[in-house]
Amino acid sequence: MRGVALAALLAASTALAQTVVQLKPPPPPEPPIGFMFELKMGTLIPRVGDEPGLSSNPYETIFANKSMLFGGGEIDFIAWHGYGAVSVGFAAGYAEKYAPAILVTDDPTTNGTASTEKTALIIFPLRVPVGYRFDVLWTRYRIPFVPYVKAALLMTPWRVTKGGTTEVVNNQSGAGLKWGYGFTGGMAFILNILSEQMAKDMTTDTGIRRTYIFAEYNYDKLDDFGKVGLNLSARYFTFGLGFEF
Amino acid sequence: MPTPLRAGLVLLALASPALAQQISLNFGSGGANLTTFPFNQEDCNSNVSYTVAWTATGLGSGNACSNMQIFVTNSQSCPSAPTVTSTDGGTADVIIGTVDINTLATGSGSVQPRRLRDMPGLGGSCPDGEDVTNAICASLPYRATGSTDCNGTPLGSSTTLNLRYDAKPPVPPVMTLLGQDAKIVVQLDPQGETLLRYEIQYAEAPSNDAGPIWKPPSPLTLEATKSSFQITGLTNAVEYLVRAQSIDEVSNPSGYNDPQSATPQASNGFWGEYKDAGGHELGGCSVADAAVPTVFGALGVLVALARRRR
Repeated sequence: MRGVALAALLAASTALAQTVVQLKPPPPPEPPIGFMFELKMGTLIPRVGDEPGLSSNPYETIFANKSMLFGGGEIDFIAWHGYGAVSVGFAAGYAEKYAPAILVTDDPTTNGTASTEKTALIIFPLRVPVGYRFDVLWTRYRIPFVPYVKAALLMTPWRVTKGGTTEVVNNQSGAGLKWGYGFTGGMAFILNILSEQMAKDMTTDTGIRRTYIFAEYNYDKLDDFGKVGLNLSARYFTFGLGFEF
Repeated sequence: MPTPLRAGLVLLALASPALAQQISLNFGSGGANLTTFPFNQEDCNSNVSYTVAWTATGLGSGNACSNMQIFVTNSQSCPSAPTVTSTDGGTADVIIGTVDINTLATGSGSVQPRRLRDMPGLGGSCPDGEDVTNAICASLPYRATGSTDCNGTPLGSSTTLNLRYDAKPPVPPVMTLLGQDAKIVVQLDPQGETLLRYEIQYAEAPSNDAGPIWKPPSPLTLEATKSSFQITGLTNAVEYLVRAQSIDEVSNPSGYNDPQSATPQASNGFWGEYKDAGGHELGGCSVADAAVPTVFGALGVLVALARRRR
């Protein structure tokens, strides 16, 4: 008799549990708009030697063609969210490279050797990107990969220093502003997949709906739209961490 | 009342009066935060004087046994009481002020100004090359809390003041020169003593037996908190001599070190190398002025969209 009662209770419990599962609400729909914030870093080598008419590549002469360390941030506004998402944003970064200046003397034994003074190329890349993110894989199928592409208008203030101050040659100051355009293609990995509960808690506590890491390839054409002059174009990878809220 | 709480209250009651009885000294107005009063031979010879102010807390006729004595001792630390007669060939302490019990109860006061040269380590003279430090102390026989007699150790000052006679020149700095483009970088390393500044002079290396003509006539100065100085506006490929001296905190000069030579040399940074390679860039804000409003327009759209979202 006791066994029959226990079986009945078990059956009732199972039925109750099934009922609870059926009452679980579906995931909330993706909001039509939002923001993304990204922190990124990478290394780049400006294609200074691409300028027509140069007798040598000064970047190679001074910096031995070694990479500049780049770091930056980007904020994007998600203007449309349907089959994927379209965003417009603003990005700012910083990159620098230091090396010894080289001596210019009449003595062939010292000419071209390293000076005790340091010279630096410093750039502040700014960009206004418009992007498309194919996040359907994640929103519909829970596949945590989001490929994306961006096109951007670039504006890069730059400065060359020697001995800590802006280098001046023939009364021309080594500082200016370069304009250009760029394209970016990348892939983001949605970290929410690693811990759905933690992701939900973060959404509740901070409003951050997604956290992701990404890798992207940048094709930057920074030569004042083809004008002959200092060419700060570069092709480089960046990596970073992003938040969508 | 629980036993630990009672014990704590007893300890607090015992400790409070002990903490409350205190004497402190300072150099009075203009030097209240100083604990050391340094002076040089010139101050000594000029009969410059100093003033000591005192404050007393928790002291009066109830626990002070006699007058408080403020004295200068020929040492860097304070004895419990002044030595009036000299021992071991040393110099007797100089009592610079006596505060009676009634005045002590008022809590603060100052003693008459005294000449610096009268500190016991100097004995009224201002010798060359000496570096002498004496301490200014206080001593008050008193009845400590819980005691009924005055036989305990006298109460001294909670702060020790020092008078420092410094007629000893500092050591010249160790110097390193770097010849750079139209300039020489002078790196200076102090040797031991606290310094006020460095003084630097330079000259073109003479081509004959005539001595160098040092310039500028008033030496260049560098605060001792810094260690590097640039002499600019020099001619490349010309050899220069540079010398420097240390000035200590009482303005004693060390005398200049042995001159060293360096030759400024022209160099190219990235911009110079770029221009030498035939670079066309002129610098400054160049073409594509139309892009400026584009960027700011895009930023404006971004801000407007963000506001609309709220």
